[in-house]
Amino acid sequence: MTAAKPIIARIVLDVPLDSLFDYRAEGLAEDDIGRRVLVSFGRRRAVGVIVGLADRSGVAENKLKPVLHVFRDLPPLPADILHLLRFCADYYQHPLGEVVLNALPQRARRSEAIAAPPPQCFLLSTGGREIRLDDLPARASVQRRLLLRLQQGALCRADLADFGSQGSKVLRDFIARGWAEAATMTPSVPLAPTTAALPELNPAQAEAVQRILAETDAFHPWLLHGITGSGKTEVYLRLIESILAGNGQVLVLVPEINLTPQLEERIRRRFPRQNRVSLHSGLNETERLSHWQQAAEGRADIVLGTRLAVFTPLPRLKLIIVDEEHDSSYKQQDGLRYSARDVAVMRARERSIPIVLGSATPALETWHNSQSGRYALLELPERAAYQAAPPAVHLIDTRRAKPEQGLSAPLLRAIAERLERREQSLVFINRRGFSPVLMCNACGWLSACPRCSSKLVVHLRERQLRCHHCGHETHIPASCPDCGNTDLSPVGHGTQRVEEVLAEHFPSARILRIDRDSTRRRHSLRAMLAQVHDDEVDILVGTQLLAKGHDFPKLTLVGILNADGALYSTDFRASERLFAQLLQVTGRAGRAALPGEVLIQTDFPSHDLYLTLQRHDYNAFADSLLAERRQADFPPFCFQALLRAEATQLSEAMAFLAKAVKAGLSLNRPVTLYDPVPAQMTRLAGRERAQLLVQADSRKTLHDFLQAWLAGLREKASQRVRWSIDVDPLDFY
Amino acid sequence: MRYTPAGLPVRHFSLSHDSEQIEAGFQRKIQCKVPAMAVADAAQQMKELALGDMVRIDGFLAQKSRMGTQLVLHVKQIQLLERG
Repeated sequence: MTAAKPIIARIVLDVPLDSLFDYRAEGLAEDDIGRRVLVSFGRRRAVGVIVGLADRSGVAENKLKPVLHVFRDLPPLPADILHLLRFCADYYQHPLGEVVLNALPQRARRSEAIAAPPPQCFLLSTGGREIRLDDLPARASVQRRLLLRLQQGALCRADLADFGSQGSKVLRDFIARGWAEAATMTPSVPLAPTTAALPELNPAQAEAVQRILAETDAFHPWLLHGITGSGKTEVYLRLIESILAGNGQVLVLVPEINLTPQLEERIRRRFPRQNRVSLHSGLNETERLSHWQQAAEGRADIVLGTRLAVFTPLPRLKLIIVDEEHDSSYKQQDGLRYSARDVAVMRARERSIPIVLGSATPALETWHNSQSGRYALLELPERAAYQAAPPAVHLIDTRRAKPEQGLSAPLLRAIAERLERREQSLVFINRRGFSPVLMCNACGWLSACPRCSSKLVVHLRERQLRCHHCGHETHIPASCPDCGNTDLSPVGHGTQRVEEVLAEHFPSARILRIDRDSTRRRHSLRAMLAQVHDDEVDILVGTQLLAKGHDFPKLTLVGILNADGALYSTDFRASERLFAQLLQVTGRAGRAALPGEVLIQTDFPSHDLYLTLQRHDYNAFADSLLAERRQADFPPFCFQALLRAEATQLSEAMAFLAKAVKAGLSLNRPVTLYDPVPAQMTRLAGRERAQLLVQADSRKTLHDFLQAWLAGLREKASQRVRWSIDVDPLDFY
Repeated sequence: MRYTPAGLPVRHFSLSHDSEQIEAGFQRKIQCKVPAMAVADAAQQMKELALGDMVRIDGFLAQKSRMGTQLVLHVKQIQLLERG
């Protein structure tokens, strides 16, 4: 008899070291790979994940520590997810342990075991099935409705909302009386044929649905390019329906939590009996864990989430939808700087399933892929509501029609007309606060942030100056800190000021401001959007929060202030973003029976960007931008990575980058290393930042270079300079 | 009345002045109007006054803005001499 060979578990931990740690783990088997374990690491205990098993280790046997505990409360991370995470760690040059642990819900990264989640689903008990509707008092309408519903099958906790505020109390009552019981597993409900009449698809929508569904068991990346209001969501819903009918799971990614309510609501209404879960940062830890668990155990049919949801295990995954695929919030800006859209495409490829990237203004990278044939292009060129035409876009020359207090006379007239016709207007200005800076007219002092190279924004109602970059807040000074003048002036316009000016012009209009400040409270945005839908608002003032996804049938006018700023930007992506944003905002007008109009205030009414926008011609704009990028050899015609460094002194960050350039050159690879430069916003929260751009002709060349280069940099790491690498950077700051 | 961003009341008004002065040995009549402003307590005090009241003012001149040459009389103290 030979003693059983000790099994070594290869474990990743949430530490910034790119290595696996070996622990002794008798009795573990292959199917434990992906499980969380508790180990002692240095002087503390840490949660790690098993990524492999081995029968020998480089560490001497007597030095190997044992695995203290194996958690079996959650399903292990499956092989496909571990593979995806390994790919991300490698591609984005980030330590695997951080990547893996961050893919788990917060709760699962703690060393306590997870208590069984509260039941999510309820069924009638044997006793409950005996109860007749007539046994309940006629006046107990909630009880009666709940009974009727339970008689049809299982009820999910999320659906209790249908029964009003009394819902959960009545359900508890049913359970206490022994009529209902918690179901341990969500019983798989067969997809009930929709009883309500579905909106009719126009030919383009029908063709899109048909082509995507023609082959669903192979990797097919689709770009669904539909103009605003063309009914992309309806296409998604048809696809989801078909996939659910085939017992698949669907992952729907949305850019921001604020976009979720509307899509979530439409999915809920269309698939009331399916198990749908959401995953985003607006959930508390318990909800997040429970939703993740339902997804990972294959109980959830539809997972709707923001970028972090892309790593959720989904055993029956059969389709991924990425809505508003161009949105920059798919890119994580710290830690693992991944693009959830790109990772989703990779995931679909690995799983051999279709992926649909939807947008009215695809990212140039995506557009390029669709032109070169890597992605198949589906166009929805018409608005879905058959009367609705794209809105007429007019440019207001602000060099002639000088705006007073930010608003030009033609725009004010147009708003007045809408008020008379009882239609809604939206004034879009992508700048929150009262005014972007406070100035002293006597000496020229400006309200600068003490910690950043930025200006403090005036928030008049709160009598505060706030930095929108680092969060610094201070009272508005009673007099100029430099010369003592009390008569300080807010310069420029933000949403609060526009709201105030509009209220002066239209004293009886109902004005609603929607920006990050007015929607700080949980669910407040949802309530505000409901107000707009219920026609309780005449004029909306808002930032990009309102730019996309919203469907307000009575909104017929969009006024755009302050769009020109982006034309001055040094970022080569600025015009792409501006065009996308303007086209999205423009798309809010005239989505139903009433025709829409858009007025843009600009100093440059003959600028090509605005003229193309007037024609709603994304394709022409994208093609001309692509031609520019090709000439300049910019992405998507090259591949970039940005090395960022920060220190208390700029000189230290620059010196580090200078050394990095030297090290890079000595590797002698076919990459271009640009000069290190101070970041455009050099100071942020008291740290000074610089960056270095690396560029190559192919992903492979860039990746191989980074691998070698960064390994060297890690060895030279200094305490004073913090650095990070951003592969495929979207922002240069 | 308007308010500064920090919430101090500001009042703009114009002062007219009438006097006789000696210049180069000649007596001459002076009549002028000066733009003036009062902040905080001085602005509140202005509430008590009506158009035409005769007042004595203690204050200073300052440029209206860095960009122009126009001057404004800033009121520090104001004393009512005679109701108008």
